[in-house]
Amino acid sequence: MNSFRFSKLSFCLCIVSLSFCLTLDLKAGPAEEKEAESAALALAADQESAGFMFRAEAWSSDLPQGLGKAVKMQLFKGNEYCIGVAVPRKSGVRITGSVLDLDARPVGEIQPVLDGWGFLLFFKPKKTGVYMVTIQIDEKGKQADTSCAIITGYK
Amino acid sequence: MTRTSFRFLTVLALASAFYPTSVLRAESAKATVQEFDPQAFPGQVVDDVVVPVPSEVFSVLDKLGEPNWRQELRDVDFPKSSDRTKLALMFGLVVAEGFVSVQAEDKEKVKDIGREVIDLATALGLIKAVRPHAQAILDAADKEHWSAIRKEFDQTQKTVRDSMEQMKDVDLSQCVSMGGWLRGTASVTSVVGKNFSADRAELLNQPMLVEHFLATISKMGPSMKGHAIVSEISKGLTGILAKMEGAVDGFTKEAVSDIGRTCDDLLSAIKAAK
Repeated sequence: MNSFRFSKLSFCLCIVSLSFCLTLDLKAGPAEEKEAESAALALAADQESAGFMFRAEAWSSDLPQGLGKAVKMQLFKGNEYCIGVAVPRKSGVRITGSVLDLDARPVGEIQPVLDGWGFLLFFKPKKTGVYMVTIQIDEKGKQADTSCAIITGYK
Repeated sequence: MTRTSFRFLTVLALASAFYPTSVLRAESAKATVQEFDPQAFPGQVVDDVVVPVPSEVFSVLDKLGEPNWRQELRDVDFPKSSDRTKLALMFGLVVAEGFVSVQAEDKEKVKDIGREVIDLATALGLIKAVRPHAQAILDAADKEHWSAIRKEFDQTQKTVRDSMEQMKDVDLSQCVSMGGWLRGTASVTSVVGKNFSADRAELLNQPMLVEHFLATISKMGPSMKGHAIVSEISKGLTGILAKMEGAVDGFTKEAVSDIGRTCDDLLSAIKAAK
């Protein structure tokens, strides 16, 4: 009887810890942010040969489904910018976004990657000041919470 | 003006979550810039800011003329200090000086700065993480690989900030950024002041960054916030912010000079550290 109770308890504990592990795995965390950063860096690497110099510091964060992110950026007139945005490549999530100017109007050109895990924004500011990069999960891909990263290059 | 626009933007972003799609589409069409569907952006405006590297502004100044960067170089032989707040500010300052020396293409200065980076990293207890970068800077200086040196200075600062954050020294990491921004801005005001034009002065339109630093200081722990140099920086930044926000029709030469003087005074206070 006791051993039956014990094995039942062990079984329940196993289930609880397994679901806890799964939850941890599914939630966007630092490891997923690193993967997003790596993906953004991969996008950037291709653009370095085009003369863009990328800031060493990337911005990364969680990206919940149904709630986009808008990140403020100081950009300088006279530079051309290449902004790489990505989520982990294996996440199955597709993203889209834009650069908004001071009047909340989209500016620049977007160049998405084929699988949808990232895109590059090319932009030449007409004024020095604050711009906003928006990122959201595209309905065409998997709908799941994930992480995203932004890397900024200039020339 | 900038602040107002972003308040509007925040409202737009939040409102779009509730606003009828058709209305938003119509408004978007009126803007006629590009096709944009604000309905697709019920989002959150993030407070984080990635502080630009000084060379991002320096490169624009190069396009607008030929500044004499050698004239902008400053001494980097700092007095020894055991005060980590001052060391962090000095670290940011020295890395920014590194960017100036790259613009000046001054090999010997780059090496001096590389050695100062080693000394400061040692004093901060971060030499293990920094040594490979410092060595790469010294090696690239011998070969005069300016873009590699620029990249390495940027990477050095990132490594130091990451290490500080891993040690839960987020406030200290912010001091590195502030020291760098102050030195970079002092150089920009000096170059702009020597050959003033509205285009050059517009590069100082950075109120968001100043607001970010002020907000960062306000969130610091009591000992850091109460530190004499940090409170001096806070006062100085408040003055700089007022100048930037007052430049609605562009910066005057006097405003540029005032911002430069404030930065120089703060840098002198950091350098006077014991």
